[in-house]
Amino acid sequence: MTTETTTTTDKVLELVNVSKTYDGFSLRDVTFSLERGYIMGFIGPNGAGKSTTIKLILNLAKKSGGQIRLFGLDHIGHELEIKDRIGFVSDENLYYEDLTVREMKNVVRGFYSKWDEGAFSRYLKDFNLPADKPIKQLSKGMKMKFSLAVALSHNAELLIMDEPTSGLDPLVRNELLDILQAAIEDGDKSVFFSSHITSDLDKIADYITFIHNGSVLLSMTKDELLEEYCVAKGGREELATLDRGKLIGVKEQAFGFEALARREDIAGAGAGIVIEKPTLEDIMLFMTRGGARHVASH
Amino acid sequence: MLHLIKKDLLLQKKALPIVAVSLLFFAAAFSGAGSVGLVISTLALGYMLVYDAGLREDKSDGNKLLACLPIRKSIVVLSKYVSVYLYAALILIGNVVVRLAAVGLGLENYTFPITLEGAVGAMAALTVIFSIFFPLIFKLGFLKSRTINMIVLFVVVFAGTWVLSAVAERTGVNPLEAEPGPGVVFVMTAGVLALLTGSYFLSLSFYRKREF
Repeated sequence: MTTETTTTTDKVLELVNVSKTYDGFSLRDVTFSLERGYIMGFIGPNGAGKSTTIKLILNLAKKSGGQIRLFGLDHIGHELEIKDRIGFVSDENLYYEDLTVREMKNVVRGFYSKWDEGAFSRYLKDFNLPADKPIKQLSKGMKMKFSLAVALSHNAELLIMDEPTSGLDPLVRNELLDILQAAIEDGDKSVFFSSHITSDLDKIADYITFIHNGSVLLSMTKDELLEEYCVAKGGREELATLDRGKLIGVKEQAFGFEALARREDIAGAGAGIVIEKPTLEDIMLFMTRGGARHVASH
Repeated sequence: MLHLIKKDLLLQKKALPIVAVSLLFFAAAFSGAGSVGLVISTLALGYMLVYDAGLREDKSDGNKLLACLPIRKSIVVLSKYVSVYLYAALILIGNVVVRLAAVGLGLENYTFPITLEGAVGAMAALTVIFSIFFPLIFKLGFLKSRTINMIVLFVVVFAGTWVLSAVAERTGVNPLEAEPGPGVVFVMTAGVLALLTGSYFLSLSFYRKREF
């Protein structure tokens, strides 16, 4: 059996040197993979290439080069089989606004080979979704839950989510994250979760892939990432004792500094320097700022 | 494909009363036009239904939804072509009901007759119009293609009128009034089917290349 026909591969998503060129923006050599049963956070600032990458995975846009495989299958050659096994949840509502929840469900259910009507009814109840309400009358959080209910009711093995928590209040965001965590408990589902709200991924992600200006800067487990990097804080005089070439980003303030560095690069730092575990936001902000000096305005 | 057509019908549930009123309006307005009344009614209402479904789809970003579902692109394209004939059939049935009601009430002079020539002419006119419209619709979407398609329609109508006038002037016979022989019917049918087939494959080619 060849890799092409193996559908039980552990890698549910694999991108190798994927590129795409638009006027004024390029996605270059994007490479990462996600294994079955895990949640990957896909982070990066607005315009970094997150949505473009997702469009390429879903074949909503044509790649200029590279390979994309889902469940070990080429994403174009096996497009229908793949789309039957994935669920896409977008930050924008893709469903027909004038249709009710029930009518919309009746439209999409016919296209999926593994639609589970009982599961959908359970999700409607659990998520408090009114079946006879037009979609345009649902709140953003409810629309998101409906998208999720559809994705989970056709037994999607991989959920691809493009900024699903953007614009949601913290309560709904937390609820959504809980639903996601519960959904992957069986170990058979995986989630590819794009977001610039890194605190959500601090809570649920197993892997982090960080994209900036169309290039992947890193892709590793969240634990490795948070172990590999650290935030150093201290007074301005302590900053002078550090090798600035080894600092990934520095934020200088009137009385001190904060910097992101690899732990091994800062191992011999002076006693006056406090080393802390970074958040994903720290890593994203320092890496996108690079070595630029930032002076706080207070 | 049935799910896609059913979806288009569901999307237009609010437009149906307007279509019903329009059906009565066309029946009355073109009551003196003979079979041409049926052609105009079917063409206008068919255009209305196809564009209404398409614009609602564009408004909801439905094309992106369809592209995310496990559906063959050829089926998406084919369903739009098939839906034209479904709408035409529904409009035809509506016109038959209106005509029967009018005859029953002694108001037959206020509606146009339902004839085979009218029905065939309506189908042929819809086929030609949407064979021209659909490729651009699948390339640009309903919203963006609407203006360009209207311009194309006017060009086709004016060019067609000019050709017919030229033929009438040269031969002394108006092609629209002449009874076509079997050869002419065959050539016209073959021409329309060739246009339809070419249009479908062009639409499919555009849709396959389209990015969302």
